[in-house]
Amino acid sequence: MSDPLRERMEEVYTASVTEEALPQADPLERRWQEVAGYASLYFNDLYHTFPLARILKKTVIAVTKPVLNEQVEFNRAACDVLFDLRRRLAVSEKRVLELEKRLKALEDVERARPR
Amino acid sequence: MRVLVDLQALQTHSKNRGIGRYTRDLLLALVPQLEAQGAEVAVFADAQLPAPDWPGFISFFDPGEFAKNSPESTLILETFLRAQQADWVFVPSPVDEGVTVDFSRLPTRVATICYDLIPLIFAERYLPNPTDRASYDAAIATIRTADQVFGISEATCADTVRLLHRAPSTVHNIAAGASAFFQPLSEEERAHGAEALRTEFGLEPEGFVLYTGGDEWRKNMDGLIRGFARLSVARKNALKLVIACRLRPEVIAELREVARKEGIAERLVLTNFVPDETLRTLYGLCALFTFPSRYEGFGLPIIEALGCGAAVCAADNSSLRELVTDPAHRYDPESPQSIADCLERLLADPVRLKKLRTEAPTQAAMWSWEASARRVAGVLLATTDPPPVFSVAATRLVMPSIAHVSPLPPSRSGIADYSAELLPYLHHHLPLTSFPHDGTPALERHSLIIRQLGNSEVHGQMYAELKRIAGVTVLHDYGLGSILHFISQHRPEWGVRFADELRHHGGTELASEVQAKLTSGTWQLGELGERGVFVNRRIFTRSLGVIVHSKWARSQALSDHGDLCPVTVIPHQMALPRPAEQEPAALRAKLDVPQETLLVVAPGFLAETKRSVPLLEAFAQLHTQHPQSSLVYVGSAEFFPGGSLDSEIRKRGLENAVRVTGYVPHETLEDYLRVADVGVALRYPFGGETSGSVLRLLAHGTPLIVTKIGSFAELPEDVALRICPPTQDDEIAELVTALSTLANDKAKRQAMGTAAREWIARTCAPDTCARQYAAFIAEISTLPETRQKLAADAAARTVAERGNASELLWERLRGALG
Repeated sequence: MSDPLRERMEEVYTASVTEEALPQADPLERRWQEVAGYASLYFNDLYHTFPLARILKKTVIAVTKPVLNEQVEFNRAACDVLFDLRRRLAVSEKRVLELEKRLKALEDVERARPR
Repeated sequence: MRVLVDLQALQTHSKNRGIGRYTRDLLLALVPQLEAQGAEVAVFADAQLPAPDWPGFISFFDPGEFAKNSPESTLILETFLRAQQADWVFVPSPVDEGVTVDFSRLPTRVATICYDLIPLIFAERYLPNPTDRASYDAAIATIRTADQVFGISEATCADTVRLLHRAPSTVHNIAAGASAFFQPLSEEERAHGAEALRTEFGLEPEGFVLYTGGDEWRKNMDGLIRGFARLSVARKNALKLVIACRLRPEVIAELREVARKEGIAERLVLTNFVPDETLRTLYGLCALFTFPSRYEGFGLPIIEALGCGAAVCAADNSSLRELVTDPAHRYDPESPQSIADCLERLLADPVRLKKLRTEAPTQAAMWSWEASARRVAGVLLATTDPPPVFSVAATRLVMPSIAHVSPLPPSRSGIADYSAELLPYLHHHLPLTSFPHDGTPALERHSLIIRQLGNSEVHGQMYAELKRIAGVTVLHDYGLGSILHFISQHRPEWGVRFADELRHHGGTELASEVQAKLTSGTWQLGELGERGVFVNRRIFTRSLGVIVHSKWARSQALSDHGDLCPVTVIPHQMALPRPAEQEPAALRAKLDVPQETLLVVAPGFLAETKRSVPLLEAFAQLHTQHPQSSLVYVGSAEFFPGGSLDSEIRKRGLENAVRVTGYVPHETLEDYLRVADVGVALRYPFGGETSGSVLRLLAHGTPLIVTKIGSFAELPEDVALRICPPTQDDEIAELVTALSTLANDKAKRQAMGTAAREWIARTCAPDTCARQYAAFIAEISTLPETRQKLAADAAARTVAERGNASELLWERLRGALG
């Protein structure tokens, strides 16, 4: 007897294991993902806990806004993408400092990019 | 509200430890409180472990033969939880030996208890190497990621906020309760107890200082011995020091050696494990109970001792300050002299000791399981948001979590325009992020995907991704044969095979028949819909819900696929146009349309299915009656056979009356619609689409002529004249009649235009449609099938990612889905 849920799992499994053939995200998309990962630091309580997180927020917006070629405002998109990343991070102040440096570097790259 | 409770702490070794007792006592108080306030509580446990001691029905997940915390057993529990409806999953013992999952992956709100973070505080001692640190980090992951954390003291809550960087508003002190068993001894019990202690341990009532706790460095038993040794000679000679807990032999030897060196070997009594009855007697008859711990999450023995009427002093740190509030009754646990001073101070003051003993039970009563349970229930029940069926995590409540995937302008697609116009309204009702392309990793981090899917190449990848990640599909075109054939041929990397989709749609026999007819040229791709082969079953097997724009499409879906998934009709949105900045006369001049000309407009791509040539033929006949008439095809002829309609126009000598604009910007299309006298939108064969162009014409108050077929036939008669499709009657003759009727009757045109605008405003207002989207999503979110489908998909994607598929695992996962 057919079992729709069992078939469903196998169908998704098949579609997922053949996914390697799918084209990878373009470089801009990949970079957005990367920057978005760092941006997760300013979420919620962190934003209030660490003064540095506020600096990060500004930096992240500056860096990522030109990257997004979408019709919606940046913040909402960023928040959703980032949230579960932020949950996984054990964030120390040292780590925040380290990330801030990396973000600044990215910002410099962005500024240097031809418009 | 439904709360799922993890009972594994009552199955593992924890069941005999403090955490197991804490869990059971708290839950026994919590469950009745939740149920009394209308919540449903369901408890779950591991089918492979001994059944927990629990007075009620238990649901079991079954990891089968897979090892505890193997990727397989973790996935099985994860799948079990995904498939359950729950407003909350309550994990009372997150750092336990049971099967654990990464709750941050789950679409579930999670609450847990933090008993302490002592290993982090004394990391050098407890987590000396990276391996220990990593496994502890993994163990406390639930505390890091849970939506709400209950700490068992203010100190533990503060540690949780400080060390795990949690928002203070998500950490709540629920304290703990003491068992009612620990109460003052009656006179009779005192007499019997005194005798028993004398016989068993050589102790006299109020002739000993008592400690009970655990056997480890942090408990500072050696420090207590050193402190006791520094009491005045008279005091220590009059007293014994009793350490009443299970001790390992090597610890016994160490403690005796410390006592020997301090010269109090004969004063030290190590009872080793004692039953609760004996412990209560010890509490009730001690001169003083002391708790020299270096750090505690709560300090339950203090509450037990107070409950039995003991005078208490303790170390000056952590949660102990909350339990022993008078600083004069606390000491520095690292200083034997400080310990001695505190003990001496209290023991030398019989009046104060008596007062402390009298007040102790009242103090203990401040901590009760009912009070702890009330605090837990208060937090859980305060949640008024609906269960997070799709979503993940705490900020789901304020963060956008639905991905809207659709081509957007400047993509030359009607669906792009549709989405661009609807999105601002959808944003008011749903937390959306908009994506112009499917297949980006970011999409998988969203709780739900809404796909705007049509029968054109730009939607091909959406179809491919739907096979991996289910969502809500807005099916703009009911028939998908052409697009599936196209991507099968031209985008093989998307993994969609036309033959597979045909087979999925109608079985092997139909697939072979259709393939053969297409190959032989008996059938054309564009005719599949006409022949009832819409090749869209996958949309209904994979989607959590399908939105269509016409009753025809819904009825066809029910007839074709039964109730594979919920299908609803939400009219194609269309806003009434804003008033033109220019007067019609000026617009006509701008478009080079003479003022007195009767302007017939046919918007959209030219195509055989849009009956471009029959319209031309009918117009030619109208033109003989109305030489001052003009027909404009506002759209591109690139998909028309031969790429142009010019020869047909020339053949009829209509070069001066008929125009094909080619692709025009949206603004130009709007200009044509503003000055059109008659609109024409014909279809045959019908592919199952809903035409945005038709609605746009109606929104401009343009009287319309349509083919009486599919969704077009649903337009009210007072807004559109309907002609029969070519198979049923003389299409051109009917079209000529309709054109003439409208050309000759300006009043009718005006009446139809007014009715059209009213119908659009009533039926297709974007905000109304957006509300219907939100309502539909809310509706499907409550369905058990939705949870099962999402759980099945997530499990299968994880198996694919980990590459650990096996028949056994599929079976167990299927079982976990319920």
